[in-house]
Amino acid sequence: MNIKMMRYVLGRLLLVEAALMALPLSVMIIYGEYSQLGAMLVPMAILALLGTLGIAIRPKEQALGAKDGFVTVGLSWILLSAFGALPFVLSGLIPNYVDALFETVSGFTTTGSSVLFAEDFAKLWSPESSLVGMRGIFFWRSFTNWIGGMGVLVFVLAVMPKQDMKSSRLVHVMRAEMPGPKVDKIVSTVKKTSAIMYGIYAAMTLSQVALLICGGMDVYEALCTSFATAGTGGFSIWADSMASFGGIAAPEFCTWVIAIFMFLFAVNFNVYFLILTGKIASALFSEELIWFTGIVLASTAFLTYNIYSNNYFSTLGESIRHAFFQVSTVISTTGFATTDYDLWPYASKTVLLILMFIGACAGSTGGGIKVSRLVIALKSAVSEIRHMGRPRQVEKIRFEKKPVDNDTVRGVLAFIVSYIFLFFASFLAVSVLDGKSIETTFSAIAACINNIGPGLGEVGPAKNFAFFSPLSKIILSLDMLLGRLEIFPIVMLFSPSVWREK
Amino acid sequence: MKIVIIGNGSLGDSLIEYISREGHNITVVDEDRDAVTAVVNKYDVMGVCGSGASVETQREAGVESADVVISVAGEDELNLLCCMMAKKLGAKHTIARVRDPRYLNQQSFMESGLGVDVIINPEYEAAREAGRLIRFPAAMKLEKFAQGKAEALEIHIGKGHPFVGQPLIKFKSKYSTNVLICAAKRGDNVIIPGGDYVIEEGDTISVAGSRPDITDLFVKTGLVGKHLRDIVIIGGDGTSTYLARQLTDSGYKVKIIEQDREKCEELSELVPKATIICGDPTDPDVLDDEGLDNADACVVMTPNDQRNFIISMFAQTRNVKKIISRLSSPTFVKLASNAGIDSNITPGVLVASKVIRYLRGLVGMEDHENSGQLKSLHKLVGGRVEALEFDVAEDFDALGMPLRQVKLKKNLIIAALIRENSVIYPNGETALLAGDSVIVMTTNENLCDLDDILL
Repeated sequence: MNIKMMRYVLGRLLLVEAALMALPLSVMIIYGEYSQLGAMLVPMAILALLGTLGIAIRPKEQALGAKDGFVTVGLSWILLSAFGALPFVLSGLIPNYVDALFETVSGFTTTGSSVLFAEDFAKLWSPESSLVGMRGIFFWRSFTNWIGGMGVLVFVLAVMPKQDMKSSRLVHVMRAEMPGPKVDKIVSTVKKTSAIMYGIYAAMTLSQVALLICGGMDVYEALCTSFATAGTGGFSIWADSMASFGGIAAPEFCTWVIAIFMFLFAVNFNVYFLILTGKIASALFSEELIWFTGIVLASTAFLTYNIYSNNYFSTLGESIRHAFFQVSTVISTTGFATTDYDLWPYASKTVLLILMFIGACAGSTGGGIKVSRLVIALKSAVSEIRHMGRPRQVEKIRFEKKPVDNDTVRGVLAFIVSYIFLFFASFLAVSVLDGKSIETTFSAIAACINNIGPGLGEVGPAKNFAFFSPLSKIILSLDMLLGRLEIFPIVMLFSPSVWREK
Repeated sequence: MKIVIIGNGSLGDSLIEYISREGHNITVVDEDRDAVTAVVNKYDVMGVCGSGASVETQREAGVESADVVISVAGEDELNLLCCMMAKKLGAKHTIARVRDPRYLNQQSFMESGLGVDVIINPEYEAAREAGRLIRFPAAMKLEKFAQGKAEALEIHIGKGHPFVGQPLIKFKSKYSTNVLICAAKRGDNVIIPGGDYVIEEGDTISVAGSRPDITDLFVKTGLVGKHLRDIVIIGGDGTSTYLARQLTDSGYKVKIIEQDREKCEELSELVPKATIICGDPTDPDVLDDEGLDNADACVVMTPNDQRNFIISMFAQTRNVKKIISRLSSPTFVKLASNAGIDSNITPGVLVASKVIRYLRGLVGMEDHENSGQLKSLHKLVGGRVEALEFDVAEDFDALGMPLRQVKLKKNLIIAALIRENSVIYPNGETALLAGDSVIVMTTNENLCDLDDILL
């Protein structure tokens, strides 16, 4: 393993995190929250110091292998969250460090599970003690969603100096952080690929901000909400998530904007790159996009029928809006809610629970198993079954009109098996530790490992995760990291064999 | 610039290695999926799997908007076809590898008539390099500038070499020579040495100067050995053919040992003056029977690195004075130099230098007004030092300024300049004038234009 180069990349990462913290810092200054400046400045100073130490010596040997890529990504995310939690503790919003870490991991992994109560949200707007709110800290909270969405290392790669990119094989780092069964560059260099990805991401976020401002939100509200949507994170600045928006002019319009953008951010970003380069036909007929759209439309139709026929909403239009929003929020793994869907009929809740596992498209900002993985696994299962009946038949699976090579199929199957195993291991652990109902525990694990946010039962959209014991919170945090980084980086980080060999 | 490289063999690989260091956007096309995966993992490039001669693949690789398409697949004809297609699709410049000796004479026709801008022939380049080394055996590597008026060569400082213990500052007076030592390699470090540098045993140094001056220096130090006459070439591929033709034409006695009978017959047609032996060159009896121990030089040119390495080691035991070995993998080059075989020829590096010179020329034309066009580029000391030749143009920023006032980049030295057909060794008072050619040695990369040497 090339420890020196890993140290160098991690140093760059810490510096980038310090730089990113400047944004919430300026929000604090704009809103006059001077008493909380320290909560941002102290972590920034620590990060800047450690980061500078990390990059002080440029390593001679810069090549990073596949394993190095995974380990670097795993370590980065843990460091990122460990330091990212400090502002919450120092500002006093979440005094307990484990709770703050849970909240931060939840933010960076774009999960959106929270330990905050309605009273905490009240501090943001009208604090009891003083006239100043906590807009800066809440901005940081939403901003973690945005950073984690596209991946902070992808950002580091985009701003990495060119001479460091020549022989360092950073493609492994990019692969380990970007979700999906087979990640490839869209243009020839890693740096440019990362920059294009972030460009598309930022442009889409800004268009959402503009639309939300048209819908009556102020700039702060629009920014925070768009950050959480873009990263498919789901941290809201309102205690009731997206139900009332704190009483803005056009709530219905905003609901539609958010629902549609959640869907858009859950689509593979390669599709947008193809559209930008004029290959619109091949973009729109992407196999994964067709499956994804199909699943969304079918689930929306079923949910609309189910809740409308059971008289949950008075008009069909309202039912469609709520059904589409909930489908979009769950399948994109965002985790906003316009209504407490924990009260909906069991059939609807079951559909939502299944959508949690399917998740978004590969190469998007969403979590879950990913549509492309499931499609490849399904096709390979069908092909295996056919092969049993007709052993001499030779058949190659095809996806996106191209044959899928065996390594990819093996990778997909290995992912699904480890995913199931880890899922049930944490299900068992949290059940033993906290003894909550099966619905609560199962949906809590599902919500964390798939990076959604709220689950069902006691962790439903109207409730929070604060009641879990500290150990369970750590397990849930690990589940979130496992889900966001697609298992292998975190597993490798904890497997002794990786560290033992030279 | 956007560059598409078709074919990912060993030549493709060294091209990708050197070109990707120049910071271009590269797409690699190959039919072998595993080879494409490997190259994408190794370098910062994009891979496309498919046949280079299919329009669909070329479109996918973005040939339509490419600045340069380089085709280095296995077959010459395929490379020519790929380049012609690429030109039609809209590629601005094309480079093809053509290595069959039968096509050598029609190179200019291919360049003008078929729309291929540059033909690269690694085997021919390798043969020329080997020929230079045979004519000047004291050097490990020899490069020419300004139509041969100046040369840069690499010398290994072995045990008991007269240069050992010489500080560079006294070098000039001791040997009353103007020749400059412009690069030195010690262990893994390569530097452009200053006056306080002391030469030690085990160093590899590069000197530059005019042919007579260098010869003069070598005569004074007693380093010029006997003229080589009897040459044994092992392996009968293209490189050997080119080399044997060259050597027999200048009166050397050449013997070629090749295992394949058909190839032997072909060789005896192509190089009538050489003695062709059909036998297994890895068999010590064959080599001894053919008088390897009486040969002045042994040039090992089979296409297989492992065999070349073993045959060279064997030749070393027979006290052959000069052993030149063709090795494509950098690992083998390192092993061989450790074992004392230091005249190694890597065709990939030779060709990469030529391609990079062409690419830098294109970059220079795009980016700058012409302050000095890059005329030639050679990679020395295992590719770590570049020797570049520029023409000085009217709008060079430091035109006519005495060099001691000119601020040059670090790790860079002006080795020599050529003015009105004679070589001048610059000192602080020398000024560069329009029309001069300058030879610059540097460990920096990416110099495209003469202004790039200034700080």
